[in-house]
Amino acid sequence: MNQDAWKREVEQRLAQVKLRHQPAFAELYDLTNAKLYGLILKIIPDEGLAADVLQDAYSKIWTNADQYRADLGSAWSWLCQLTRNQAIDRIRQRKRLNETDDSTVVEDFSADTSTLWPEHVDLGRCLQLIKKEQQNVIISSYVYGWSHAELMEKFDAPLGTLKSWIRRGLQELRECLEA
Amino acid sequence: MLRSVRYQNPKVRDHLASQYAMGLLLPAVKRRVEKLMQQDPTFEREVIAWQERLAPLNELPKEVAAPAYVKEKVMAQIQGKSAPGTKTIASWWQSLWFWQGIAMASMALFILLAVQPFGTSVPEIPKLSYVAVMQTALASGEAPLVISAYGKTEKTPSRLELRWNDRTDRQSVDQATLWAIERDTGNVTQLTTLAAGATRIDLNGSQWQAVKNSLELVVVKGNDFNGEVLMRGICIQLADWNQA
Repeated sequence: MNQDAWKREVEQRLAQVKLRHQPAFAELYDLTNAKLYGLILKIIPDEGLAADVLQDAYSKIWTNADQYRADLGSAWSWLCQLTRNQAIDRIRQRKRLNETDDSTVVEDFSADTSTLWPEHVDLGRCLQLIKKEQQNVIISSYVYGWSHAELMEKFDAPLGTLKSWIRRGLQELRECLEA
Repeated sequence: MLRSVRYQNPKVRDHLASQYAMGLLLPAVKRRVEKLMQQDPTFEREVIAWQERLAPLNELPKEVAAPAYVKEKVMAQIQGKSAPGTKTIASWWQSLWFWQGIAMASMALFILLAVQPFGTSVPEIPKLSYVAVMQTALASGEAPLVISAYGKTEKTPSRLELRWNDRTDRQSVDQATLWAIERDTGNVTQLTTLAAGATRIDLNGSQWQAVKNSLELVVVKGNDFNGEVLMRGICIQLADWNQA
């Protein structure tokens, strides 16, 4: 299945889940679990804990599906945000068990955009236009769910500087994407 | 209500929206932002716009198949949850004593008419085959609308009849659309566009088939199935009156 078709499938299944259709929910799970579990594992490397979070996330997807606004955003983005929130909430409640330091992720995104979905190339291009430290801190924070305190430690920078990198980086990204 | 002037400042709003999408807010601030999203549709749009901008980053992690037990647990969990539209039909139906009365009266009327003088040329009476008691999303009391589906006869097409509950406020369904969700596949079929004051809708063969195979009927605002759901109801197939 190509990416567009996959996204349409996800969109359609979530619309059905909004209407409490359980078979569609099972299909949505099959379509998305590997991607969402991969997303959680970046934030919570412990597989058991990540699986618990995945279960909670799907439970919340079922319960909160009626809050999804198809007119404003894509189903896939909504699923990811809900899942990331769930993982971040969980990790903030406890100390990280293992270090997650595969910084290749940052390089993956900024180095080669050929494997990205077409609509994502824009973000990749814009990320390359902002300063390296802004790029690193935004991607690391987003992908690993690092808090400000963790970012301070990782990047060995004061809080004010970090916040400024993130704020300015996001502003520049926005300007670039809207240009 | 979060009516603070601070939350009206465009810079603050944009900052909060972007930080929420990044996952960088402290729990208390995050809760306030989520509350603000519920109360302020414009702010909700701003947050979703940031989510969309950053969404490509969700493609970075590699896919990892989740352990098989997770799906089993998740499915067991949702089946145990009493979601609005999936409570057991029996208990839901039992709670609607008023509509049970209506249904029983309809059945009694049907029986009465069905046993009219034998051998005379009594017109064939349409059979009431399906009923959907339509509830609003904020269902707390009585259902506002009942949709009944009658089979075709030699002289009349199959049809839907819309009967409003006089004891509830009548909801506008003008320009709304009626959809059927297929029982086995979950596929959706648009049955018809509703008009204000409509009480009877004749059905063609494929529309009737869609009603017949439906798990639920859904009234959606506008012409898009993803639009706001105004009402929904489980479509119940009624047994023949002479069946035990």
